[in-house]
Amino acid sequence: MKISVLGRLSIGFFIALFLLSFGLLLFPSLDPTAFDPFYIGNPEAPSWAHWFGTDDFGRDILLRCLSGARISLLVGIVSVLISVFLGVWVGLVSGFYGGWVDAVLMRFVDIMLGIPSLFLILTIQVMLSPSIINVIVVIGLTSWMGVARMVRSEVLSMRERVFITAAFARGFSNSKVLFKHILPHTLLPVIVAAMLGMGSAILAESVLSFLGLGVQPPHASWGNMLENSLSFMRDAPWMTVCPGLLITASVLGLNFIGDDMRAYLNVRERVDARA
Amino acid sequence: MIFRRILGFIPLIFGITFISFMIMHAAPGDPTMMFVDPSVQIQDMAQVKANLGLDKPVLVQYFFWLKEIGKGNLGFSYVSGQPVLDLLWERLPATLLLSVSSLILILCFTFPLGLLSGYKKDSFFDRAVTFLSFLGMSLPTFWLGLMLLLLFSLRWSLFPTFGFIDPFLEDASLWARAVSVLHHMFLPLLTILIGGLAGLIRFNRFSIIEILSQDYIQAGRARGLSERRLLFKHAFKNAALPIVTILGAGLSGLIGGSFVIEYIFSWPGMGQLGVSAVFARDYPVLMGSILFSSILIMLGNFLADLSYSKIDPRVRIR
Repeated sequence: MKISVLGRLSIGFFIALFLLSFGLLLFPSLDPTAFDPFYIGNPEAPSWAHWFGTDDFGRDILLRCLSGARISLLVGIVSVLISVFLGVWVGLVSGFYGGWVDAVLMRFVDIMLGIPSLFLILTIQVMLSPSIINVIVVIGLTSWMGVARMVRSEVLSMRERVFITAAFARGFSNSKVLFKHILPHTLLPVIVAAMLGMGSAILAESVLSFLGLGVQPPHASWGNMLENSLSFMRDAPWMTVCPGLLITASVLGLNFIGDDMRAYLNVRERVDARA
Repeated sequence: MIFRRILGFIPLIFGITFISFMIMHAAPGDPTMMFVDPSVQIQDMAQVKANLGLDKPVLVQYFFWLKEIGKGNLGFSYVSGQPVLDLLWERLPATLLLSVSSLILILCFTFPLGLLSGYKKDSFFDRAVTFLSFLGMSLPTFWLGLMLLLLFSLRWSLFPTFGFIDPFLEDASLWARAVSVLHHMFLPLLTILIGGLAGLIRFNRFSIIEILSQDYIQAGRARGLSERRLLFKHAFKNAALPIVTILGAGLSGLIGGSFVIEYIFSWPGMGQLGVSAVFARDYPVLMGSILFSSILIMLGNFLADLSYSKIDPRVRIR
């Protein structure tokens, strides 16, 4: 498998991020929530003691960024699992059974795509209490439509293929044909879409937390660090810059890896699969 | 034909409003708690709810809402008591100005950049454009907005930090006001542009590469057509088709994304109104914003379909 330089760099970045953010748990002395009462309201610029500076509570931003990475990665992975699961099911059923089932499901997809997703996510999040689990579920439930459409169109083109007709001719049941013969062929584009979807999920989490409806303090997430930085933007720009750079780097990395996978698996570029 | 297409949107809008309404009213909390004076007695609270129709089953409330819309009444804001329709009308021009101009600019930049990048595949220019569009796709737009604000407004004081127009210019000439609006619009527009452009350029690049490898381009070359003519006349139109579709489909993302931008730059549009309505649980305003923006999205999709059949005579609107 040919991996581009940028792809290699991205993989390296994620390995480092994983190791550092989870390795942090082994060192209880490096506490991202530990604050220094002396520094309250007085963020300190980056220095040798605090590489990324400190925030308004005197908490170390590097440590907070790393513990925020755990949450962002968790949100990215689990919410994509939810949206892929839903999207694959809806797409398979819709494409395979056709008729009114297809019509109803696809109209539902149209409706979900017609609601501005930000309003949808915010509304659900306002009524649920903002917690990490709710963030994950809400992002998962509002981002499956692209995958569903993609899987459906793959299934539709699969159905026309001779080997599917042959499978039916041999008397295989619907479910056997669907899961053993059609599903595996739709998985490649789904894997690529999942990679890119993880980036979108990380972005969605950061917007939610930025608006104060996502991960709640004292837990650090990249989004709520940005929310917190707003009142200090003029005096302590490092509070805004560092988490944002990490979000950008992670999403960029996922895009690079996804693009390499797309090229390797020979999947067509499609913007509509991006949730 | 066109009429039938428009008719097709109506059930969709019913669906969108129905689902939004259900989600909103499934909320465990009580919106009246947000704005009623805490000293009000319990029995009076019941009266408040009855006045707002909140004591009825959700379905009944939805049909009541629909009936009022038929009369041109979108309800009244829980917070300010103003008619929702007036609030939205007030906000619509700012949102339209921002989204339509960003759409036009996105198209102006996508085609030449995508075209050249696909034509000069693997050149330095192509690599640069590819990298930059990946970067644009990955930047959190709200953070990009914050960074631009930080640099251009707070550091260098080149652009205003918020708002639509300079409040001192109420009576100034049309020209002076237009310049002030443009000045205020620059940063939000730039933010939306960078976010919206990236994916499309990349997509356009792919379609150009695919088209340039086709036989009819080779045939054109063999007949001695200039590269310029091949590219701008023969390849361009076919590459424009998928972009138009994608743009129609991506419109909801674009509009949704610009809502956060409106919020950050205090741009007095529907997005800012809607986001604050979410926090205040101002259901009538929120429902109105969802209705308006979904109509905008449908309209955009419809225009995309129309221009699709204009560009490609093979496609007829069914």
